[in-house]
Order: sequence, then C-alpha cells, then structure tokens
Amino acid sequence: MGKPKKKGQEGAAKTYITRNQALKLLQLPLPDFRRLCILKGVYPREPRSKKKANKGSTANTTFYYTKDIRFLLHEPVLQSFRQQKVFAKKLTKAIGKEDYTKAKDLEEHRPGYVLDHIVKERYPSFHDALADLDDALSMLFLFSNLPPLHRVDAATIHNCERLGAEFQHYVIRSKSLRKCFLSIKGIYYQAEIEGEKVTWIVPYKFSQHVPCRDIAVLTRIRFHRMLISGLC
Amino acid sequence: MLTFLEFYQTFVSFINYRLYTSINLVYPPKLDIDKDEAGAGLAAYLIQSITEQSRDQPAQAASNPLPVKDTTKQLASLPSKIASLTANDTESPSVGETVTDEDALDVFTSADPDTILPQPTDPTRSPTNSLFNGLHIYISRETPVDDLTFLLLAFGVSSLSTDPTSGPSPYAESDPRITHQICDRGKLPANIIPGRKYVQPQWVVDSINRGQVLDVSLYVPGAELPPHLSPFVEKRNWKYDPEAPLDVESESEEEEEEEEEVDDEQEHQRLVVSEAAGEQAIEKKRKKKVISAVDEDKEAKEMAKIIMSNKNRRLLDAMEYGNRKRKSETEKLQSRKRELQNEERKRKKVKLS
Repeated sequence: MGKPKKKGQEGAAKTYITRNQALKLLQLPLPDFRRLCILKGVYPREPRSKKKANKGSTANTTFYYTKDIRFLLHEPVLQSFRQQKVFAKKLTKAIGKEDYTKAKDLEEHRPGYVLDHIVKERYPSFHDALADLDDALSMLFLFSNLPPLHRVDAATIHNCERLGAEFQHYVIRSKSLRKCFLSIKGIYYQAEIEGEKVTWIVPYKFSQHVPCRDIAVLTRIRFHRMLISGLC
Repeated sequence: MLTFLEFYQTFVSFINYRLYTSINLVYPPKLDIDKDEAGAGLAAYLIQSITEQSRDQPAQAASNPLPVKDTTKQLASLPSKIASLTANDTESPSVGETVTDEDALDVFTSADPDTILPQPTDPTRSPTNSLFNGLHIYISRETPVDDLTFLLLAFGVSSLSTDPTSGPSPYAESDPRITHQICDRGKLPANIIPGRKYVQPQWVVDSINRGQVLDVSLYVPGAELPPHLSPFVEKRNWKYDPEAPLDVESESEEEEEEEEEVDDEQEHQRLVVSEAAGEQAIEKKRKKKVISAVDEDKEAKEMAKIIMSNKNRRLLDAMEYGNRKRKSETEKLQSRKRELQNEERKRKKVKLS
C-alpha cells in the first residue's frame, strides 16, 4: 500500500488558485495584477466545484488556473511594474524634499516597458491576430475621436488616430472593404482581409476638429482682449 | 480600459506593419504635418510602395525629407524592434519557410500554394471595388467628410473634392468637372450647377451595399429616403425580407378597395355585385378542390406521426412550433408593410384629386 493521500494535494485544489493567493504569489497589488492579466490575456475560471477548489469553503471568490498564474511569474512586464513602483517612491521623495534637479533627472529616466513580446506570444499566427482585430480597431477609432482627457494624453490620442488612418489606407489600397452600415451608434465597416472578416465601428464626429494651432492655444482673456481691440 | 488601449496600440501597429509589407508598402507611412494641420485627414499620409521609396531615397536625402511626427519614443523605435523580432521569423510571409530555431515560438507560415483551399467568392460583387470609378465627387462640409472620404476612396472614386476648410482638394465647388455632390442640408443648395447630381450621404452607403451605383433620383436632398437596410443581416428563406415584393394577397385587397370606391357610384353597383358573385362561385369550387387535397396531406402526416417514436414526435412538434412562430412573425411584418403601402397609396390619391 502506498502512502495515504492528503486532502488538497492534487485535483481541483491544485488546479485552481484564488485571486488573493495569486496576489501573494506574484507579490503585486491588485491594480497591477489586473493590468497584467489584461495584457497577458489571463482571465478567471469557474471551477466545477468551489468547495473542492477552495479547501471546503464555498465563499464567493475568483479563481484562476494555477498554471496561468505561474506563467505570469516569469513576465518581464512584472519586473517593470516593480521598477515603476520604486521610481514613484523616489520621485515623490525628491519632490517632497524640493530637490527638483533630482526629480527632473529621475523623470528623464522613467522606466518603461514594451509589449512586443506579448503580442507575439498571444498571437502565434497572423490569422489569430486578424480574428481578434475587431475590438482593437473599434477602440482605437473611439479614442482617436476623443479630446485629450486627463488620463489619456494627446500623444496617445494622436497615435490612435495615426494607427486608424494607416489601417484605413491599407483597406483602400488592398480594396478589401465589403460592407458598411450607418447606425445610431456610429458607422459599421466590414473588410475582408486575407479571407478573414474584420468588422469595426467608427463613432460619428460631432465636435468640430480645430486644426489651427493658434486658436487652440488662445486663452480666454487674450481672445476678449483681441475682440475689444477690434471694436475700439 | 486604458490597459486595453495600451495593448491594442502595440497590437494594431504590429498588424499594420504586417499588412503593409504584405502588399509591398512602406511602413510607417510618412505624415505630412502641414497637410494634417490643414485638416486633410487621410490625405495627409504619404503611402509609398517599397520600390518607389528605394527610387526616391537618394533624391530625398539631397532635398529636405518630409517631417515625420515623433509622438513617443516607443513609436520611433518600433520599426527596428519589429525588424529584430521578425528576424527569427520568415523574411517574407508569402513564401513558406520552415523555422529551425527551436527557441522561437511556433510560426504558422502560409502553406504551399497547391494546398490552399479555394475561398468562396461572391460572384455578384466585383472584388476590384471599383464602384465609383469615373465619378468626380464633391463632399459638402455638413456631411461626415472623413467617413465618406474613406468609403469613396475604398471604392475607387476618380477624384474627391471637399470644402477647403477640411483640407486641400483638386476641384473647387463650382468646377464643372464634378459629377456628383453630396450634401445634407435638407434641401437643394441655392445655386445649382447644371450637369451635376445632388445626393444625400446615404446614397454612397446603399450603393456600396447593393454593389451598384443606385438611381440618384431617390436620394435627392430633401427627399424622403428609402429605408437604410443593414447588410449584416443574412437572408434566409423563413426570415422576413423587407426588400422582397409582397405576395398576391395585396392584390385582392386592392380589388376590395376598388369595390368600395365603386359603391359610391350608384349605377355601377349592380354590375359589380353580380361580377363579384360570379367570381365568388368560381373561387368556391377551386377552394373545395384545394381543401380536399390538403386534407389528404394532413391525414398522411398524422398517420406518420402515430408510427413515430415519442422522441421523434416531440422533435417534429418542436420544429413545427418554431416554423409556425417564425411564419407568424413574418406575416405580421408583411401585413404592417401592406398597411403602410395602402396608406401611402391613399395619400397619393388624395393629393392627385
């Protein structure tokens, strides 16, 4: 006879991991964990029996596959999240001590990260990527129509605009547009790219695009001063 | 949401790169900042094929190259990164190469040209997308200019002019070479240029979905537009098709209407009644025959149902129930359409009289 099996050593108890356990394992705060999950395409799973997966408790918790979380453990972006945390601490400290030269120096070397490897990892074939293009395009077109918000800077919006326009140019050049529909939400388009149907929606532009930089920069006071000087 | 946006930006730039290189275009295309600030939209991008670029490059090095907007550091370094990433990959995606590098991810290259499955093609639609070829179109500024520009260019319009406020254009509004003008003010413009057709924006989209340039007269500014139907709805036999003409029943209704009108005139009344009575007699005979045939069918079906197993009978019931439901829905919509048509006809008659 072999060794008697202990409870919670294999099966559902090992396949699934609760969110809090995952946070502990990855040593991440919840917002960062969420970001990482979105970037890597990891999403929660529902075990067949919650009781078996959670040490006999049926409490309402979120479960992930243990394998998925272990897979996140080796992510380079995870490292950069930690670097950013350290950076934020240093920056607030420098600003708090009114050491602005140091703060400026730190700001110049703000740690960033690239997502190129994640794209390659998530979409091993080009057709996989094309099949997942719908949401991405709709989102980019939505943001390219928005004015710069406090959390989305002008550079991001300009980038969205550029990417959208580039895609439109490809559709024009490759003559792949097939369908179009004017709806209340916006304009739906469908293109057929390499045999894959890509559908996206572009919202209507209601606010007028102000192209002239001078007008955009003009402050209210200056505008009134100009107006009055014109009247006199 | 913003995390998604962050990821999608990288994702779409990868896809754009791949798509551009697949049709031999330079990626990223250059952005003419002057044109962009003038509000040119799509026209601000300079799309070059790779051969063109290699020809132009020495000349451009001598003169001032077009300024390229550098929005982020990441963007500037993107092409080199993509190049380094794709170095392990196949050089050209169209040529099937086997990857020997074991560390690299699995790469699904396109198969041999012999083994590619034939793609189903729609014979009614021309794949060349040259619907508006030969048309010179002017887009007024009150319309969604950017979207219309994209649509018209995607379907091969010969020339496209817009209001000078929304970018540079080849022809001015008064140019006689323009064949169509898209406007959306609810009425025709004050000074009409002869030889030009005025249409509403829906004409463009409807033409694209039908695969032919539609009759302009239905889309004149101020006219009540025909229904804009979604091209994404698949046509099925049992589904209501709003474009299909109504069946024969409407004619009988018409007759009834006509009868009502005749009722007013005393002299013709008797004649009409006798005619109607005669018709009714013939119809009754015909109906009897039809009814007997239908009865036989019904009996045969019921017999078959008795022999069936319970499982099959339930399945059949479910199918029949579903069919009945769909049919009733279709009939409801058809009757509504019929009512609308009749109302319209009456209104027209009133107008005429």
